[in-house]
Amino acid sequence: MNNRRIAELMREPAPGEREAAERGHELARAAFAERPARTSSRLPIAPAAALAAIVAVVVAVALTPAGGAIAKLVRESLGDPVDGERPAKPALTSLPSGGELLVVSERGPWVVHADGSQRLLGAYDDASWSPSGRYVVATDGRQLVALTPTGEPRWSLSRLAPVSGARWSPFPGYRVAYLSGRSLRVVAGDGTEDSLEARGVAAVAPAWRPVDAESVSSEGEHVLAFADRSGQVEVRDTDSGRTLWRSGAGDEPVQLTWSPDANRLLAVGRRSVRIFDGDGRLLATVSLPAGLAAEAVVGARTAPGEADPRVADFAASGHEFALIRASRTAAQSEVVLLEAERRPGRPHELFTGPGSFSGLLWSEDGSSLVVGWPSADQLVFLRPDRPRRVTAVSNVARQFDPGGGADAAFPRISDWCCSP
Amino acid sequence: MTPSATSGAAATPGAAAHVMPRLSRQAHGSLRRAKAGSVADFDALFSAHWPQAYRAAYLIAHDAAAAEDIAQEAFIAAIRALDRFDRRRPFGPWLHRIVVNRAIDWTRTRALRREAGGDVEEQRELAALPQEPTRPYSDELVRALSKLSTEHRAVVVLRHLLEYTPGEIARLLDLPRGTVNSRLRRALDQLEAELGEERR
Repeated sequence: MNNRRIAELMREPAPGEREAAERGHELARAAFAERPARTSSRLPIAPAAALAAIVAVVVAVALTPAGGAIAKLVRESLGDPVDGERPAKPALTSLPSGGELLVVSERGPWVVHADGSQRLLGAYDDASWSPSGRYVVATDGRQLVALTPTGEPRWSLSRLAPVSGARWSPFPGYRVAYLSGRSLRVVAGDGTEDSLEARGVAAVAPAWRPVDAESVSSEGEHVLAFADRSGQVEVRDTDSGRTLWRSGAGDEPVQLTWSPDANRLLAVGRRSVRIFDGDGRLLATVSLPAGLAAEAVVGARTAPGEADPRVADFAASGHEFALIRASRTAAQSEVVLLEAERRPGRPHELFTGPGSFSGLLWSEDGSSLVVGWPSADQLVFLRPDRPRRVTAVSNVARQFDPGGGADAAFPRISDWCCSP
Repeated sequence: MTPSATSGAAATPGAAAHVMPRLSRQAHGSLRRAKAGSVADFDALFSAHWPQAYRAAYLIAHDAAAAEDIAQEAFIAAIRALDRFDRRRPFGPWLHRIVVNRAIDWTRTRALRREAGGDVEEQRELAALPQEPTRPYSDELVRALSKLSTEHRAVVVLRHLLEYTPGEIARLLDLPRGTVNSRLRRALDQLEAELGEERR
């Protein structure tokens, strides 16, 4: 046997190669077509469009109550008087930073496209994106379902206990972690090889450690953070089953969130936020002062499968994170920015409004932050780098529960994927 | 297609960026025009790279469904990064690096899960999904390759299917060159023995 013979054998077509090529080509073509149009300095159209967008934002002025709050924000935050009051758009007609937003209403999860068009995926309790945005993983009672963004189920799993907190692993998305009752489980991205990871875990969605898609390595890419009911946070390599670190007990987390560089992990409790570094060292505990506890945002879990709103989220780079704080009576809520460092610094107020906020999310490119504001029936899009760029959208409850009338409940913003 | 005609240097940051370029003028043009939005040139790139990506994944993972997923994911990743490619360098090695590492990862994970076994109670809960049966690629080759470790299969595929030099393989897999050489030597010795057995 010589090298040439081996090479000859390898050049034979593999089984299924032709059919796989057809399917792969179709997918690749679609992905290629979805690439954002390239801008060119030779074309004056792009700057003109950008200018038009800026003008549209500046010109939009109206007199809604929430608009008043935004004007107040601008006045208070910038010390810059605003003539008139900024409007709330009557409907969500576009996403300021593009991408695709998942919003979960009582009807189920909706995909909101960059142009504001939206599609109901079905009667599911919760949903989140796969890393490339090609699939959505949804939960429905005791079922875990993988869907296309058009709502077509691709695979499903049924369990005896209610399913919640499903999260797809980062690129290339070969795992899905989820809770089944108080068990943490992991299933391959194609719905096979479901396995138990841990029992007796806290009712908090597990969080996959981010990976750098450009430096793909064959190891250490399926690392998961989860917590138990004593508030211990554990980080485990789910491929080897090896525990990388485990924290001490603490405030039981309602949310676990990694920084994009995987060097920080937030364990957001009802009364405090613990900041860990990538090796599990507790860097700081941010106590939420009385009257500003996350508890007021999260509230009591009312039904199995119902997900908590996201209280904190990291920006696209660095260790800065946004956090919702609310008074226990929900008379006022605020979004603040903090640094996930040993000294998190003084909270930088970004947005304050009457009533309660129900969750926040950064866009994938880190340029925008969306905040749910049920008291005003609005979604508020903030541009932290440009505080004047505040866009509010009203009539949110009805928009995601058409026909629901006055009884329509405010939806929960769940996930924001794949900015161009 | 001759692999060396279209595959070559890495296009994106990372270790693969140091692989020596072997980009033909035609492939260079296709890449440039695809970046500019030409569907026809994108199709040409796909046609040029798909068979190798799929075969490499298949020969390492020995599973057609996994090979298809791995090749698809690699292409989607490449498309998403297309605008960031240095156009003087083709995306072949970058694509192959993802494919091979993913295939190794998939194979190791499958082995781990098999070793760990399943929780009987939980397995009972699982609604089993039908799986597509796979048939052999080439009985002679697949049987022989299956006797090799995943790491040894990977270097053989990179050397003899994708036609990288040992130095390039070392950079693609972040391994010392000596390790690549020794893995290749042992793998070929074992393959020769296995294929010899087949004939007898």
